[in-house]
Amino acid sequence: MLSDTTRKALTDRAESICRKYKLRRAYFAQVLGKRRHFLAGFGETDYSRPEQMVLGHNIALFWHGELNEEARKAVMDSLSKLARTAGTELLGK
Amino acid sequence: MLSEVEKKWRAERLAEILRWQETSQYQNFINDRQIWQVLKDNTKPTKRETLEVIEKARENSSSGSLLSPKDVAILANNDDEELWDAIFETAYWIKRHVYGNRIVIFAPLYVSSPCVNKCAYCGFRHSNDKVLKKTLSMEELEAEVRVLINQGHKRLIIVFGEHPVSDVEFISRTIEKIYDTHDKYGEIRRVNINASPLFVEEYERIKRAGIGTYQVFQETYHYDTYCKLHPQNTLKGQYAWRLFALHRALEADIDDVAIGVLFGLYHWRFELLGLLHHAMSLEEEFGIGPHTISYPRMYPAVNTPLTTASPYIVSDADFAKIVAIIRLMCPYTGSILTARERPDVRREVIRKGGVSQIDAGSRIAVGGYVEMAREHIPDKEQFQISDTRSLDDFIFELCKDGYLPSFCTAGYREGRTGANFMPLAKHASVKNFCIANGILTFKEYLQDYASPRTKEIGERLTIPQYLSWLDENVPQLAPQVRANLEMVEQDQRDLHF
Repeated sequence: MLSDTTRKALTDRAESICRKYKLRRAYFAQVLGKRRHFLAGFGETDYSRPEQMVLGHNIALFWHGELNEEARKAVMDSLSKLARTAGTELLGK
Repeated sequence: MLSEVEKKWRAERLAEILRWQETSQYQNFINDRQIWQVLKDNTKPTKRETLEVIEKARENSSSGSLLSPKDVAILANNDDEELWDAIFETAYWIKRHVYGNRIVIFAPLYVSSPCVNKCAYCGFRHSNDKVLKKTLSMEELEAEVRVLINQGHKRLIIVFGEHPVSDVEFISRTIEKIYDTHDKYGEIRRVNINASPLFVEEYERIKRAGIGTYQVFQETYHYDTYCKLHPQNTLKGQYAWRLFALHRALEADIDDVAIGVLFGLYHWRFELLGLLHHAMSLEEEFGIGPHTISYPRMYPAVNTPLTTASPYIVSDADFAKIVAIIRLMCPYTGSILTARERPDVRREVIRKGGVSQIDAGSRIAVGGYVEMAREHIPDKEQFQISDTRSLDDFIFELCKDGYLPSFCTAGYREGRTGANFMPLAKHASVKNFCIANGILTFKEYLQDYASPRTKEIGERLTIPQYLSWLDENVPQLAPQVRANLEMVEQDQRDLHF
């Protein structure tokens, strides 16, 4: 189960990503087969299709807005530790 | 009758359940006396009172607020036919306001009927030797799924008895097998589950298989009736264990949960208040209400006299009222109407009740889809369904009646689950996704599975109608949907928002 601390960390990171890259919305989800199980996020509802990338440890990031390749790499690198923490907690380890 | 192995399994599990009940911190949210009191206090509502509740329900559809128990009692006790017309119109309005005029279609798949319980109303009760108990092998399951996906289905509700052969590991393997079964364009994209209550760690195991919604129906919220119908030495005999089944699911972070009542077991007005209190409790504890509410009516089952002899059998007229009140009292919930009901009842109640999800092309015998031509296989069915029309025939009728048939599964694949879904539904903005995704999935159906007459009405009337709706209501999405429709025509599939 996700701890409150990690959930807050995800929310805060979603917010900081939105502000830094001027995204309309960003949120994290756990990858469970076809299901993308919402964990935490920031931003307003947007009716376009979100982009997504899997960060590893069965954690995916969704976002509405533009992230070029360089930004995606930077975001993925910056989130790797948090994704590992979240993924580990969700596995119950 | 149960074997010694089955009895032992049941006894061991019952002991664990009783321990849970003894130590559970959850407070019972159903007070039979209070429910009857609020119904009695509002036996003869005035016209003004009823109109105020109707107006309140309309307003609530933009905030996601539930009606109060008093409000529901007022609606349930209304005997003014003109006001019932207003209630039905409001139910239809609310449903369109929240979800748009789309109807999501799914199929039930009965996987396993052996059961250690002895529910008085159920054809699968272990003492009923007139109904064969069967569990699908993985090969038989695949054969069933292939029939379904080759009709065009994309969403299933899979149903299990409560038995050691259908334990959590089996359920998980079943889900995985279903998702792994493909046939050209055919696949199942969402698997919902109707099964027994579980412990938190069992729900966690099921969750990892990537399920949609977990459904547990209380059957009846009236405690004495519940005890009468479910023997105390059975697993299902444990009222509190079942009542808090979905609370435990939410503890395990399964955040799409579904409730329901089997109408016909007790007074329907009481049961409506039971459903309301259940929704209120889920919201209060977890901030997440029921993803769907189901309201199956008791129907005949082989060798099951209660199903025709109960004093609480619900009439067609009252059934429509029940469904409409559910829509008004819980505006954001998905409302599921099944093929138990006759075609004429379904057509009427879809509109009057503000229904949002419905099954079609259904067969409820275990192994019934591979014998599709047989509408009924009584000795393998839990009960009998009344609408045995094909999926295509049903979809054609929906199109004629102006609805958008939808096989959408986008929400849970785009992370719109639980706390990320509820605000959209509660603030009535989810329809923007629903209509867009409905159009795309219906287009897939027309391309791959539809009969010529359904294809004709779908392409000529339905899709243009709902593209116009998008143009007016979600103009930023309309061009993308049109572009995606062209991609579907070029054989791309599973495009969603």
